[in-house]
Amino acid sequence: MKHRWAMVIDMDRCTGCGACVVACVAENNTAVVGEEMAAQGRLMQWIRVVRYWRVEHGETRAVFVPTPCMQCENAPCEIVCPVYATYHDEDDNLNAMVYNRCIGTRYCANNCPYSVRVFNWFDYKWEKPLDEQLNPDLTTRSRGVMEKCTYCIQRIRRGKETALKEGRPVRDGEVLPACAQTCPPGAILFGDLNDPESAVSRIMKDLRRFRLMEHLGTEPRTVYLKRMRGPGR
Amino acid sequence: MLDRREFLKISGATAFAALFGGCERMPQKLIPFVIPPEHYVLGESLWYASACRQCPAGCGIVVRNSAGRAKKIEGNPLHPVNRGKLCARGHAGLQALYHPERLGRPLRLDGPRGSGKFKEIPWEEALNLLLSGLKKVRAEAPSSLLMLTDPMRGHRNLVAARFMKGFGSPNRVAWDPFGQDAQLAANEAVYGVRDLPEADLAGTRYLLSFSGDFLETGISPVHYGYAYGRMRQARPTVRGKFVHLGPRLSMTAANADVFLPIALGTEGFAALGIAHVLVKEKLTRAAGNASALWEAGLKEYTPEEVGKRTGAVPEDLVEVAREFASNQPGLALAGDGAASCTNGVFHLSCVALLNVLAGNVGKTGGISFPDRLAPFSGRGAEAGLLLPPPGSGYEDVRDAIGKMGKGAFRLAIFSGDTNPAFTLAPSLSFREAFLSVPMIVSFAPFLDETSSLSDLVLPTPTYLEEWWDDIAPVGHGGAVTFGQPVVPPYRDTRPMPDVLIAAARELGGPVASALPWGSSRECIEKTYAGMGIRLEEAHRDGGVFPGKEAASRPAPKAGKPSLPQVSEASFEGDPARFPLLLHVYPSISLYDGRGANLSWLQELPDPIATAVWRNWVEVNPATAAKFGLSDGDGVTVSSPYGSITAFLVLHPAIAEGVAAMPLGQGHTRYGRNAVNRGDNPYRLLPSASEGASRAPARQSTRVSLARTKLSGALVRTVSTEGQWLYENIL
Amino acid sequence: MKSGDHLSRWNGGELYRDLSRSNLVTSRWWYIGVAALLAVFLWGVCAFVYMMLTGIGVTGLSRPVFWGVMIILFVFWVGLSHSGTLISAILRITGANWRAPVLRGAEAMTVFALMVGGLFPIMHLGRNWRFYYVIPYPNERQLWPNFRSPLLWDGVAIATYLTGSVIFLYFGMIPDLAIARDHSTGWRKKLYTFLAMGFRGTHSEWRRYHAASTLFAVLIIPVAVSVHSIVSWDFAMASVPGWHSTIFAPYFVAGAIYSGIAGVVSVMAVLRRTFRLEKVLTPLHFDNLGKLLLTMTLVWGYFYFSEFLTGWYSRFPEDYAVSSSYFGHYLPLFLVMIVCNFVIPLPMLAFRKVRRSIPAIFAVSLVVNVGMWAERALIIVPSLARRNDPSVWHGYFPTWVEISYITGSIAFFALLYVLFSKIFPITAMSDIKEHLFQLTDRTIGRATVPTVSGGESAEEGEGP
Repeated sequence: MKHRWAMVIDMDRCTGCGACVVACVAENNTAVVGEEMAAQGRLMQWIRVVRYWRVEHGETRAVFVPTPCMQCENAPCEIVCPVYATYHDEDDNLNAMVYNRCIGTRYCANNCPYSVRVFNWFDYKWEKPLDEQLNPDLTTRSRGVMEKCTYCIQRIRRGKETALKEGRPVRDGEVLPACAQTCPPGAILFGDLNDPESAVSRIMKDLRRFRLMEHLGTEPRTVYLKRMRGPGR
Repeated sequence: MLDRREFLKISGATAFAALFGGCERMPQKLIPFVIPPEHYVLGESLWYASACRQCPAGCGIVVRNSAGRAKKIEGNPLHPVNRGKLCARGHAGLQALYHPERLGRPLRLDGPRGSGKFKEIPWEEALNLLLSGLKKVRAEAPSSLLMLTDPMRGHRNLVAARFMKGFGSPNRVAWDPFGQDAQLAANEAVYGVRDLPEADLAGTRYLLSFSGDFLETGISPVHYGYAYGRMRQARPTVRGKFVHLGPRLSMTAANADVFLPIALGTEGFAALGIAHVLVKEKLTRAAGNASALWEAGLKEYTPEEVGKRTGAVPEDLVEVAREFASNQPGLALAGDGAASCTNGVFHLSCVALLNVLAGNVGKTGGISFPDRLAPFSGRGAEAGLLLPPPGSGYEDVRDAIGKMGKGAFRLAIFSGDTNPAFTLAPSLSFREAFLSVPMIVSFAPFLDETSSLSDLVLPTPTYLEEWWDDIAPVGHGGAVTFGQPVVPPYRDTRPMPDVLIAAARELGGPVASALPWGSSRECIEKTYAGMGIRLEEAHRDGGVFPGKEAASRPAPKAGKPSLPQVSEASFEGDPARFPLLLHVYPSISLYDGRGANLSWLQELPDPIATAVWRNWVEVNPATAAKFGLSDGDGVTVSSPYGSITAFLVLHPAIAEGVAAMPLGQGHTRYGRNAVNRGDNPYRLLPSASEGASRAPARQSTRVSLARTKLSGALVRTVSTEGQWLYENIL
Repeated sequence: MKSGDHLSRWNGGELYRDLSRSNLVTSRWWYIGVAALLAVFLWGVCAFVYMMLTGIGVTGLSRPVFWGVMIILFVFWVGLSHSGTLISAILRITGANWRAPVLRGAEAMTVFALMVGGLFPIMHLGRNWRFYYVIPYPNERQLWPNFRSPLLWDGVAIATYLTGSVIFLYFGMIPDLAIARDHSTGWRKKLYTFLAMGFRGTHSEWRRYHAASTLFAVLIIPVAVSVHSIVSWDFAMASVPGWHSTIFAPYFVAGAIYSGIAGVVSVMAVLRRTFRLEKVLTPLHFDNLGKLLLTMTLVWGYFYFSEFLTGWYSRFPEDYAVSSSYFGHYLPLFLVMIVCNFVIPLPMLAFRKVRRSIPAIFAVSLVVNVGMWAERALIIVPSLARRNDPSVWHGYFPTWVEISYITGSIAFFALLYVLFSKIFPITAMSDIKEHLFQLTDRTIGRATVPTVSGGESAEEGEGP
């Protein structure tokens, strides 16, 4: 069964709280880099909630844009990798990353218009016993390799295994990445576009739907729903 | 004897094991290149339901346990407070569990008091020290025992309270800097119910927030965050509108459709202005005495007058009032920024008055007062111990400090889920007074500013390693939450109730009979057995969830609203010397400062300032220009009570004349992650109390700013240049 | 006077002694120079070892500036490598008769600059010890490199160019090695004997030599053009504003030739001074190279202007973010580039006096390469630092490690050159001989001037 996983981020629900960021860090063994590295723009978080300022009718307002990997159908990162370390996964239609293949050209990161890829500039260590928390479903990444949001491929895998064991297709809503699972206002929706009945498939027809930098033709599968505004100033 | 067959068997098995042992190690050595490891590494894990204690909201959690280690915390989908959702702080509980600096053995002072120098001692010795201290105090004067804790709920509070009662000391103080005293007082005044209301965000059509913080650090952020999402997009034809009035575009305010900036400490007047329009235009739905209100003084609060006081645009107030009245049901909420003014009860009462006038009380989509004590009906006085009112305990703390100075206490027991040495205004001189108590025993998982003052530190487990129970302050729907150890206790720690129970047994007498249990677990079992709760099932689900909202209590005064006692917010300091009003707000990641030792939270960018790992002060660009300051400058923030340094952040949507600082950073003792992260803004605050409810009034001082040289720079995760170019990503 | 008179003033031994002085005397200064260069180079190596042991994080790189000094150096050195072989080939084909003394130095420059430049893409890998993953050969990893990636095109192009350039250099050197063989002793004799492959200067040998060298020259030109086009495609193929531009390939080629010619001028001036080649490297040569350089100044200026104008004028938000940063944060770099690449060289080179003054043109050539370095930095860094998503914008400044790479690479290049000129004939003696052979003195009015009779192509039987 082939899947086409997609994420819908409803900016009308997103409150900007950052729960997704920490949930992702906890799920995906993402390193904490410390203040000095953060100052150099080397945060390792796979999803970031960007606060933009926007001037509307002369008043400054904030917009929150949670930015995970867009999992582009037509991904610029994939073609430029000389060693197929990032490639298009056939079963799940994800931009998968094989850390062992990666030699660290960082070309994929340069070619990602969303700048969602993060690089292991050093060997990041988990001070004992914080390493007890590390998720056994996935590795930690060594120095010199690229990493990024995987849509929690290990959770997808687990969902599929469970479904397989029970001899049924994966149910809509059964598989959730850590960010979608935790999002308090339910701003992140996740599902399979190959399932026409799934919530994400239905929401693809929403008039508020848009994608980031659509003109680049990357066909992102992380889709946004526009923030609405009530009447009034 | 080993025969040949046996030998072959064994050697065969050994060879087999060696061979396959080698195979098992191979994936680490021989790197698989074609298939990412995520594709085949799957192990079984167990999920234990428990409860979160990173803040007082009382969310239910499930914790993934794999090979005896806690791996991930997620929200408990069955739990009515958070419905499977969890905030950043909740996730970071794992880091507290596996914190490298957690205390694993009892510590005895090994140096001057307050020096923070300790040596490890065995539990036996520690318990003997505690017991001998307790025995001595009981022999001399039982009332000279002080117990200073966080506001505990459930059996933890039951044990602590009964211990103190049995011991014979009335001096039990529970300190929560963000206690809800003002809310309780205002609700009593306006609705006639001294309790926290349940605000039905999910069902409301119009949400009017006065410095509301319900999405970030309010009473139950995940609960309201979940409801907020439903308010916006869960109904087929209705999208709730959200209007926010306040001095600063906070994270909550950023989500509003309309943000109306008003001056700090004027929320109540803005609410009166809206109430004026409601009454004037006969838009109220409250029975009866709107005209009485009008005559009692409401008529003076014309939108123009209120505009002058608050800085709001009068037309906006009129429009908001009309919308509020016509979009039923509506909801008016106030947050900590309003409640912690010196006239917080006034603000909150005026906001509550709006709910009354618009007829939002007791309605779906409005305010209601479910009977929080319903699950405990029939428990008598014990109910109040299991679920004490969510106050701050500020009066008690101040009293206790006064008594400490007079030498009234010989032994202090402190529980480390609160940190008064960090969160109390310096002018109260808590540290000095506390150190004057001859013996201090702390129950704490970490050494922080307060527990490091002790003579004896007894390490406690985190909430992920003990048996406990909880009743959430809002949104519980009559649920009782049960926490259980999700991993074997990681360090050699003992929960405070267990130690108290054991100590009581040793002490004998009334205190022993007050705590007639063998352990926490037994205490919980016995307590809830009377309510027909079977703990096995409760622990499986993480609590007992009746599935329906507890019956609502009536709000007796809601029918006959009266005009709240008008009072002005006061700010200390000479406006000439200290031209700016200081607005302090709890950090969404660090809360009152307790999250500061967790690196996940330190590295979580602030939603508005996008800063990590350090403290800052926000001012409007126009205000900064007046001081000749620019973005990123190091500044000294001075109040009449002290001065601290921070980096300047230009906030384009904060009221002019206000300097805002997040609380939580500036630890001097709380481990590597917490110290040297800038200064503590609590040090700027006066010891003022809110006038009516005696809660701490944090929005109560003026400050001045001066440029200063600071080493390093504030790290912001969003480019200060790029943050204006939202259109570029579309 | 008849043909060959000029030549008859020299004999082979004299020619060798005069033109390959570097091979014969070794002064104390040579050792000091080599030691100094070696020290600077080794410092760079140490910096690299440190980086390899600690992590790429010791550079100033960040998100989104994932490429920095190492890639700048790569493009810079590959660009510099351009002119050598290309000029030599073009001059050979077009029969520019002043070319002879320039050839060897230029060709050697190509090889060494490529050797230096080619190191950096490998060094800059996050796991540079795994660089062999890009080599296509059947392996137990069951992997095959991705030929859709411009990085692989790059590897192929550079490897081809390096191989071609080495052959070109060596092949052109064979007659000279034969001369050197005939006039040297000891280990040099053995070395030259081996390398000269028995070249004796017979009629048929010369015929084949000329045919082959013309063929090589024709073949190497497309390779040279493609190399820098492909280097440009590393950038132009990416969807990075400021990089993604169709003009990049010819623009990079032009830039490479520009910096390459400037490099040739610098090297020639140094060689002339060091090895007393005043007799063969005359101001006329510098004048001619100066004219070429002037042409390339204009060509480069034209390309840069048209490349910049489209990005700036269109005002596409993402492109504009990059081009506007040239006038903001990156203004100093931008000024260095414009001044060094255009404002200084254009008027200076327009004057024959400057072109014929060797110190002056030497200075201009250095300035041009400083400018070209800035140009590469300006192409690579601001485009990344101002990526599409403005929230991640971040500055970049090289750390000591990267600065050590800059100095180390210059030292490495110079070191290779110094060693080469110590061992091999640094001027193309046979070409000079050929040129001398063709020279006749002609009397025009009262003056007697040397003139060239006949074309460049040595007809059969006219070999020296």
